[in-house]
Amino acid sequence: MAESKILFDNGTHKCIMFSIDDEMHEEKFLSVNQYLLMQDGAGILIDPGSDSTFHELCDAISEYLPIEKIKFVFFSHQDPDVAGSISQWSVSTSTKLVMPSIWVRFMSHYGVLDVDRIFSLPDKGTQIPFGEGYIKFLPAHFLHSPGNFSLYDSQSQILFSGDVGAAVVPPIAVYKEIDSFESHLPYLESFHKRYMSSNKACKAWVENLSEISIKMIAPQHGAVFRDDDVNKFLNWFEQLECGLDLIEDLY
Amino acid sequence: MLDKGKIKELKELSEGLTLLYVEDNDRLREKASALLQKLFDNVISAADGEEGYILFKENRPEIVISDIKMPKLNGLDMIKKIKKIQPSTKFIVTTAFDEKELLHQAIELGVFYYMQKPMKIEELATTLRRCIQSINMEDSSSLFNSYMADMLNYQSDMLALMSKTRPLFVNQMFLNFFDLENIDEFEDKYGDFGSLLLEHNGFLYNHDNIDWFREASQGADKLFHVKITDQQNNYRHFILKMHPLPKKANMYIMSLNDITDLNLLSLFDSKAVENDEKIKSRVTIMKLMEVVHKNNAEIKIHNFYKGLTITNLGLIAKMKGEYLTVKTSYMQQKASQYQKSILISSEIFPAAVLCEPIEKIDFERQSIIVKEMKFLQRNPTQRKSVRVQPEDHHTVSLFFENRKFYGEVMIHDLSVEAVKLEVNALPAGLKEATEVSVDMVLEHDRKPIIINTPAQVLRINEMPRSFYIILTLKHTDQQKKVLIDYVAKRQMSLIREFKGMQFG
Repeated sequence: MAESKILFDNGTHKCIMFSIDDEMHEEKFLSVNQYLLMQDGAGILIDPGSDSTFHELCDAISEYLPIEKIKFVFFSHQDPDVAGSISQWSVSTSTKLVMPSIWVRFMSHYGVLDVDRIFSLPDKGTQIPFGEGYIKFLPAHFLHSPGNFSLYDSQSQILFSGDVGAAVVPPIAVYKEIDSFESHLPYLESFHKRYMSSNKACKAWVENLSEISIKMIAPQHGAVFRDDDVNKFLNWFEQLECGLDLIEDLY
Repeated sequence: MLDKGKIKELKELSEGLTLLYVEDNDRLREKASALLQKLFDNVISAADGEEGYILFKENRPEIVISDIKMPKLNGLDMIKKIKKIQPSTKFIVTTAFDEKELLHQAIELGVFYYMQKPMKIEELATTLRRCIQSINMEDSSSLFNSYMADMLNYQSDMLALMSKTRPLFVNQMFLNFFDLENIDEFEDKYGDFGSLLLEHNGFLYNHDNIDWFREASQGADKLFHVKITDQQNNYRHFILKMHPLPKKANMYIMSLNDITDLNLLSLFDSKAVENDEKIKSRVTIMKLMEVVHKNNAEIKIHNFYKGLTITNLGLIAKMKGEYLTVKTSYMQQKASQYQKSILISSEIFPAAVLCEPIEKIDFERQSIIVKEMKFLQRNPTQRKSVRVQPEDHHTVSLFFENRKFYGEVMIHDLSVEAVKLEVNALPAGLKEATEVSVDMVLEHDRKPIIINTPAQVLRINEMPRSFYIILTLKHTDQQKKVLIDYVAKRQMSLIREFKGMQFG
């Protein structure tokens, strides 16, 4: 069931969250979020997801904007739940496909042989103007993918964090807004400890955010963090031992 | 005693240098002077600081050895005076007194070495050797700097070290072009650099939401066209490049390469692209290629495989005589081998360049060599949508005025929004904007995909033995979804087919 929710709207600039799942409802699952930024009749789509949900997402987006008006589709990393629909996006629009540079060479496997369609993000990220503000691609490498970016929208001050902040929740209790960080924490821990690569990567990501003001963190799975929960999450994440820090547990 | 070998070596090293020796003790001065003359061709000596200073002014020696405590003018005061007129002089001071106060003063004056009396020959020879080496090194570094400055000043491009939008240091070409004595005058005379960049279609200048500096600095090492007027109010056409300095935030080397003589300004104005003679000129293309080559800028190489666009980055590796060598990926080489041509595009080209035929493909060196090249009027590299050729056994029917057209019809290629049909004859009365309908039976994974939709004739192209009819599809949302899935899947299977092919 396609759901959408407006996260930010100041009359000229909008951020919309879609929640179109493609996993069978198992005991615990990663509910998926897709995001659309809109201004002056142009759109930027964030982590559109797999090929099986492409049409459903297009229908949901069409309520707000014709899909031909999407100028950039941003893929934070190469996983199929993020980038599986690259082929459909490439044939149905003339959008630029924005992705980490290290994944560009693999795009022929997703159906793209034309680098003209691709906007390759350098490792240190970049910033592009969007409407009256800008969007900034911030490195999030090894969280979990070795080539991975978060996207910051200067006007809404929302940080679209990809897999960082993802929550695994029971399907009967899926929620998209967090009541309290403390009660949400159990759904974060196991995913982050197993999927994130190491505390060093977490620290580097958090430190790099110090120069921007963040009102909301919107991950690709689970629920969004607002206001105080933003800092609570960043403090927790900065201290998190994960991945290589816990490698002994895996052997 | 120094052996003869060392004496000879030092003497060779000191060739052309002059040494001044200042010592008030007559006997010591004579003895030491005799030794120093074995090591230096030119040795002069003085009995006190005052005489030393006078002799210095007359002879300008590179090295001065001096006692400290002397009548009239002491050694340290003499050094101070000499330093004022020739700061690069190397001083070695000698003293019988082990006084820390003097040592400190000597260090403050920047003397090269502090030597206790009696001078030991070995120590003196080692110190002199180091002293000469240091002089030679400084000479070569100042020579290097002056050559570098000459290279920067007398090369044909304008160069500027930019701190954000402000030029800090510039070469002589830059000063000449803007008629400046020095760069400090720039801001007063011209204000912001960006205000000099003039409006021109496809060029870099401040307009709407475009800030020249943001564009140029974000596209590090990208090439941009800019138009600036010279002192005689003529328009000059430059290629601008900003190269960021490593580890220095907001510092760039900006280069401006004047290509006005290529007469391309008019080509960028779409209304003026009629000038076929200019556009076809191979010389112009080669000169543009040279600009790209010189700036080590990226080009894009395009090929087509059954409708699919295959594009990869490339570099111009070599230009020799009439031949142009480009380097690119293996995938692109394979595509060019299949197509027997390549299309080259660059941000500084007014149109894509078709190179046909291919002279040579060297898979080991990742290179493609071409000779024949021309600009293409219609630019296939700017296709908005992905096109694919369907399977050979597809069928298609064209309906016009409710009647089926019975000539030979096949799909040349199709995209989500349009289809290009190839027909052996044109149905009577069919022209642009005519309403028709098409019935296409395609296949994927052995399942038929049927699309039956109204359409409109966008264009008709006459070919030597057939006609192309390009139709814009007026399909329903549902049919469009089916077509998106078909084109996406066909794209994947064409890529697999292409990758699996072995040419020649």
